[in-house]
Amino acid sequence: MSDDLDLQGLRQIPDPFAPSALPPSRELPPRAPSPTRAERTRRRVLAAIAAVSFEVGWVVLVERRRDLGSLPAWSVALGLLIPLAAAALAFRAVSSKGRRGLGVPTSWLAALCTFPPALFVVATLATRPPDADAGHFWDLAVRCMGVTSVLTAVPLALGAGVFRHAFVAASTWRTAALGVACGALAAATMSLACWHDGALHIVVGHGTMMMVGGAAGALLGRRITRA
Amino acid sequence: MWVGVRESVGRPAPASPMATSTLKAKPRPAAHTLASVEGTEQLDAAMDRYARGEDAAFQELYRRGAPRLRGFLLRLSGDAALADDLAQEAFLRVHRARGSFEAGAAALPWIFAIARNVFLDHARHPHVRRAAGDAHAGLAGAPPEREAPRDTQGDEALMGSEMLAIVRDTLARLPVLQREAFILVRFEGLSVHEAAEVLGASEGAVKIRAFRAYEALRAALGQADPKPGDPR
Repeated sequence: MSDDLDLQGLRQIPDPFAPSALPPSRELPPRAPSPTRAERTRRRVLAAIAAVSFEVGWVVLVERRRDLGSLPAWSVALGLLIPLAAAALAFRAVSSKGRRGLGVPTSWLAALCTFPPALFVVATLATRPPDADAGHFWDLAVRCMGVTSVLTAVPLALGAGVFRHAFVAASTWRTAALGVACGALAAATMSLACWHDGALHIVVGHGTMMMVGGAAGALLGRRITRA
Repeated sequence: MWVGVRESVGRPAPASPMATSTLKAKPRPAAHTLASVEGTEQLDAAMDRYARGEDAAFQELYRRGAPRLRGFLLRLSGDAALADDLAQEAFLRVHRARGSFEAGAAALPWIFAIARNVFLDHARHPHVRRAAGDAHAGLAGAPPEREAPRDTQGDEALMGSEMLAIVRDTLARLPVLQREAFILVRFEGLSVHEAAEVLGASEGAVKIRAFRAYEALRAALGQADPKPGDPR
């Protein structure tokens, strides 16, 4: 529809506020400390290291699946690869500069927020076996959701802190993508921590936090990360 | 059919009469745009230096950016004092967010995006919304920021000032989403693509919003157009 619109006529509308030059009307604003570009980059790297260390530390110190040593390498790799691919896609939406430094277009952001969870669900259902212990499905799923929420919340908090006042445009979408990325990272960690291989368990118990993280990120976008 | 607005709208308009009106006030080129096109690279460079931590670059950034920023906020709010306050707040946020300004990026759309956030925060404030309910966005009927063009005389100047008042009042009554899209594309010289990035919307949405604003303005100007035999 919008392709049919001819905006040539806009220039017929005169500017009621057209000045020859509008001077700055006041003194310079007060100067409080603010991070420079190099400082922001340094903080982002540190936050990324802290987030990954937290996830690895969880697996090493808190919870690790008992059969990890006996699993075939391809199975472990697949369990990691799917959520990490989703995380990488979502994080691309967060960090992409776009053509003018305002980030990628909103349509891309929307796609990069919704595609990773969809990829995770489809790839998991296609590659993982059906759930064996159907009787305790919800008990196990809710327990894993609780763990995944912690694994999502910590990197998301770090990310929100690092990107505080950093997104000048589309901050809601970009922070939602950050939440999706953190949820996907948590799902990858869960593949090393949880010994239940059922496809539905992984989708519900490990993958739900991608959506919840996205929603939480959207809420944080307006209050914290918007410049 | 869509025409590239950056080339056709944002640049100084040719001195063609209004197609829908017999009012003779010419659609004047945005003089600040002429100056700013030349200064855009310096503004980008100043912002880049400031983002790298060179505090002295703020002087130049403010000198070059403040008039554009204030002009944008004035068109958006219709109130000179409010535009001043919002411009100060916007520069504070520019300062706060400077580290996220990417190397090689264009400063003006980035600054406009921050200014828009400032304006929306102001417009969403509860007491502003209450006031807007009473005073129809608080802009209609406000005294004009500037008089009619000084190069016009007599009736022509009067008609021109009437026309500008109609545009100002109609702009004030437009929904914010339409107003900001129209202002960025028509008055601030941004392409639809740039405006879409600033507004965090799709290009199609920005085109539609700007076009609806244009239709509303054209209709308002058409109603003011004196009919044949009209005693005006």
